[in-house]
Amino acid sequence: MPSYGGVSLHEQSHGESFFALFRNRFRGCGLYLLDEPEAALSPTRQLQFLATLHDYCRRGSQFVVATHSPIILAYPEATIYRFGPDGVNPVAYTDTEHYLVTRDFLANPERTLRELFGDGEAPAT
Amino acid sequence: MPRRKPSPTPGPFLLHAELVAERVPRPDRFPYTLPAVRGLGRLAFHPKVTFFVGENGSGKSTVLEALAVAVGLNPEGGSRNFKFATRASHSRLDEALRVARSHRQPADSYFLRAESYYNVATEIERLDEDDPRSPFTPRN
Repeated sequence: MPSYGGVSLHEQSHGESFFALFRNRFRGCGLYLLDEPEAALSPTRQLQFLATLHDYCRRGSQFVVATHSPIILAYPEATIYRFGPDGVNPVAYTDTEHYLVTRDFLANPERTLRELFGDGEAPAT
Repeated sequence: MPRRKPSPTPGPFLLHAELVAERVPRPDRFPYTLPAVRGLGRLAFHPKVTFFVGENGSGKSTVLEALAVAVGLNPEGGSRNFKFATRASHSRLDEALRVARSHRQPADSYFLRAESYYNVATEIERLDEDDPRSPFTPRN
C-alpha cells in the first residue's frame, strides 16, 4: 500500500506531508500526542483534520493536542486546559481566548484594525 | 523480560498526570519556574481528546514532551521505533511527572511536533526502506 500517496514525505509540502502522515500512518486504538498540528494546515485542511480526528476517536484512539487553532479546539468530545500565569485550568471552548478573539475579529475586522492601529482609520485594502 | 504483545483495545490509555513535588530536583530551574508547571496540579485526561492552550512559552509543549517520555516515546517526536536524537537533552519534567495509565495498551502511538517534523519524515522513510511494500523501497 502506498502509505503516503507514493510520494516522498520530503517532496511534499509540509502541510501535505503532515496530513499524509496523520491520515495514513495512524491507526485505531492508538495514543497520539500532537504539538500544534495546525502549523502546516490551511483552514480547509483543519476541517478535514477534525473529521479524521473524529474517525480515530470513534475507533478507540486517544489524543493530547497542544494547539492555537480555534477550528481544531472546537472538537466537542474534549477537555481544554489553559496554561497560564495561575497554573493549568479547564476552560470551555466558547470561553477560550482563541474563540473570542477570532469571533470578534471576523465579525468586524475593520473595527478591530481601527482599535489596533489607534488612528481611527484602517488602511484601504 | 517477556515481551507482552499489545492487544488492540480501545482507549482511554492515559487517565491523569500530576507533578510530584518531592521529585522536583530544583524548583528554581526551568521548567519548574513556569507558573503553569508549578501550578500543574492534577490533569485528568479526556478519554478522547485533551487540548492544551496557552501562550508560547507557557509550558504546554514541555508537558506534552514529558508525557511522551512517560509513555515511552522519543521526546523529539515519532513512534516507538524512532531512535534518532539530534539534541543532547530535553527538559527533565518527566522525572517529576507521575502519569496514571489504564491497564489498556495502545496498539499504536505517536508524538508529532512541528519543529522536529523533518526528522520524523526522514525516519519514516528509513523504516519504510526495510518494508518491501513501501513505495520508498529502492528499486534497482
